[in-house]
Amino acid sequence: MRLNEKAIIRKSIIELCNAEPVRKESMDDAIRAIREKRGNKNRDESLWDYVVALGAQLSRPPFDPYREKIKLRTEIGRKGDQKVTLKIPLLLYGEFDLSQSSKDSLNLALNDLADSNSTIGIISKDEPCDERKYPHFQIISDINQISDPDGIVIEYVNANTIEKIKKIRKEFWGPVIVEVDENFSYYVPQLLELGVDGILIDTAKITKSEKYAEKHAISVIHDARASINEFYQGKENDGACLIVAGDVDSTGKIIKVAGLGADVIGYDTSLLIAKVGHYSEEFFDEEITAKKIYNHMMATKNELTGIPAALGYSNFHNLSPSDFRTSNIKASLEGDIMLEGVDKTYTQILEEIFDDHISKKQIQINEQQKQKILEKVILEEN
Amino acid sequence: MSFQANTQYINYGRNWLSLVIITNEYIRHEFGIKRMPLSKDIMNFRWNMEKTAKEIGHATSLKNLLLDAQKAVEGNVPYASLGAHVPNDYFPDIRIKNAKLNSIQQDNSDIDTSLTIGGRYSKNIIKTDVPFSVGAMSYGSVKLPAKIALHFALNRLAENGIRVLMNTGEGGALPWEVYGSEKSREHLSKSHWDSILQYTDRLLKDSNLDGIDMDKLFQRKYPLVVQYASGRFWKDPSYLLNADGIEIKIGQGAKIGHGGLLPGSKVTELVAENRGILPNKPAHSPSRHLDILGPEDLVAKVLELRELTNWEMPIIVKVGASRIYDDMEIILKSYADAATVDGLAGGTGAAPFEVREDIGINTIASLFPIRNAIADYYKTHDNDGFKLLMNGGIWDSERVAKVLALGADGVGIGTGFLLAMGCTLIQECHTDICPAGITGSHEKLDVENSADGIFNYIKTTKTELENIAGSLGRKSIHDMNPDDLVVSDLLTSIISKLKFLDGTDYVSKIKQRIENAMAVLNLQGGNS
Repeated sequence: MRLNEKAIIRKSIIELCNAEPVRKESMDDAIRAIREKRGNKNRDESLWDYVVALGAQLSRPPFDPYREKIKLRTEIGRKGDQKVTLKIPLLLYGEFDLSQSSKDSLNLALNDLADSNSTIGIISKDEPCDERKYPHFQIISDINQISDPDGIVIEYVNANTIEKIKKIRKEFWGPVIVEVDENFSYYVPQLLELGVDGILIDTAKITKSEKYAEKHAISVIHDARASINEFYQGKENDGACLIVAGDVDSTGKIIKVAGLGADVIGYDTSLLIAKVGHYSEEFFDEEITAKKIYNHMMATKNELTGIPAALGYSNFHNLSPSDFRTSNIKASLEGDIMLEGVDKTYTQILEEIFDDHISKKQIQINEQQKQKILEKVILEEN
Repeated sequence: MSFQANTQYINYGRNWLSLVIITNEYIRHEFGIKRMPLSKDIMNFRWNMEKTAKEIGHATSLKNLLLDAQKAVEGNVPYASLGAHVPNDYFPDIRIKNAKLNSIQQDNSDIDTSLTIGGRYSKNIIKTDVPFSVGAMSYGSVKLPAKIALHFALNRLAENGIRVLMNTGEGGALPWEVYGSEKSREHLSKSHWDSILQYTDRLLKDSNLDGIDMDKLFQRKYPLVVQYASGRFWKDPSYLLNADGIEIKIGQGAKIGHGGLLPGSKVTELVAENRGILPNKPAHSPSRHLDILGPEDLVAKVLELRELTNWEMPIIVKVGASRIYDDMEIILKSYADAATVDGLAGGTGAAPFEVREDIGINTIASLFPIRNAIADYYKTHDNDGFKLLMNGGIWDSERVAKVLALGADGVGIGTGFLLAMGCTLIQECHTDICPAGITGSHEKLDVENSADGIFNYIKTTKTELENIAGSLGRKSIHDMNPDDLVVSDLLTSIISKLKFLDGTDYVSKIKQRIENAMAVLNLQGGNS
């Protein structure tokens, strides 16, 4: 609820609390007036806010996260003995220029988390620490840069990247993750064919590209998942994972991103905390900063177990798009998310109305023409 | 209180940050918040996070930074209260055709605004004079003076011929709610009655309300529904037996699938005693009833309570709006008299922030699947008086009327009553800084003034409901139907199936768009 809407509600109720009815206007008239003044532009300020999950009650009992175990564990890697295990499906990832003391705090916190059965990993250009208890995915651009990581991340630049990956695959036996650009749908099948273990998409970068300029992160995640699913059509996924980073700054978003198709989430809030801990040199204390990173992650872990439990799952990875609904047409279109209450996507509603209309008019439209017409209708909506 | 910007914070920045700080200070001043709900450590850390994020161009929201700072400093899951931030609740996009809230020329006082619950399986029927009730707000989540203000206001209304239903919430009932009639006290032993009076005396003294007349207090003139929740926070069966109805709480809109929650700081000795739990520790009720895991268990529970109450008491089953068609199907077959459905905006005294924000669907959106579930059930059953009660984001007469026109029989209001007592909507009910003294702080709530506010709120809302129905030419508020409503937005039409003012619906609007697209693309198709 926005502050100005709260003020209207409060004013309206106070008027009702007078001895005589004095209201000339209902609170909805007043709220509608300020929403119309604000226009539709701000309605999409955070599309994630319009996405909600369906909780479990009578038709599906919820789990109890305080008394029952909720599984968060995930593995990265398609081959048995090279898998990396995360106890929380998060990899710290982000472009933060951390000082050495911030990095030391981070190392301390990640080791403490591993000791508390809450292992998360990190993706970084740095050489991995020797005394680490957590998985480190090293970002490399060339095979010579590999220095004992648990996994590597390589950015897809052009077709030559494929050759590099082939070489890496021969010499490095841990999981190989490829960070892809906006054209991922063209080459993801090829990467998976090569044995790549994970596809990393940074939605913040991709939504800045021309192809996704008008789109939201929801759309990128949807398309990336579709690319992976297309590769595995008719066969079982052998462990290739989708890692989504870039627009995930809260537990609610982690849940929604996972529900829409991510297996692992690239998360940067811990890096921000490490950076903030170093904000003022005179107060910096590695252990205090490490404690803050640890505290934050343990609270996040509790949230991450609490929400799937409330949705009726004992495993975080059972979340799927069918557990989510939206109160926004754009979100429905971008992520193929069903609208709340009607349990259909906006596209499904359009198609049903289109088919009915065409059949009543007794005219013939082929599938290609239908898609063109619907695209035009959707364009008008946007 | 004079408004003084906090110079300590002002010195931090020379740019837009200062504006945000001054705005925050203004809000604190405007809403009478005398101290911050969070510790200095948390606030300092949040400021540093904000500053760092800005310096490095890290995109995130101030709301998230505050939650992150709480988690980093305390290591706990952040709580929240009242209803979720709902960016689209559809209410403002629905209008009542030609309705008037005020009607000077026409006397509408004979319009029927009553509500009955029960009689489907129960021998007794609860009859109220307004179609809205006081939503479930426990003692503990709200403080004693607020509970007493509600009690006095509802008694005064009953004396004035307006009976309003009160729901206790899941935290047990107060002594005067359970033993507020001669009949309820008939079989009490003297020692038991003395112990009740002693506890009452301690309650009143603790809130500096010991001047209240006990005889006046121990009179309940309004119907009471008690909640039967997974935590079973009540001391003995009198809680159930002396009520007028029982609501089996499966879930609520603000924390679906999570169970109840009262932070330890609010579990005082007296609250703990009332609930039969240990003081100063959080009261987490389980996410599900340990003996209700499926439809058959619900039937067994309803029948168990029917036996316990000699089939007299109406039994209601409450759920949050989520997988609502399936849940309603189960409730309809469970021998319950009514269902309460709580939408996403339904309030709470405390819930984990992410659970409150991200689980459940809106009140308006839930009404279409609910109507379908009820219609499907009654295709093979005779109408037997099943009632639908809706909660969540309903605060005034117009919203009550909209929800009734969309198929509800009654509604529950929570936040509206808090506002009537002076709530400032700062949404810190889970902490101890409530500036109005309603949910938890050292601020003192004026019981008489609050009771007056509640009294007027109910009376004027009833009058407005009469005017709305009267201006539409209806004899009863329950005669309103979807044809009385229009929408101004395509999505709202899809969700509610309501028409636009021009009489068209979303289907014809979309068909028109299809026609336009076909014309632009020159794809009119060939006749088959």
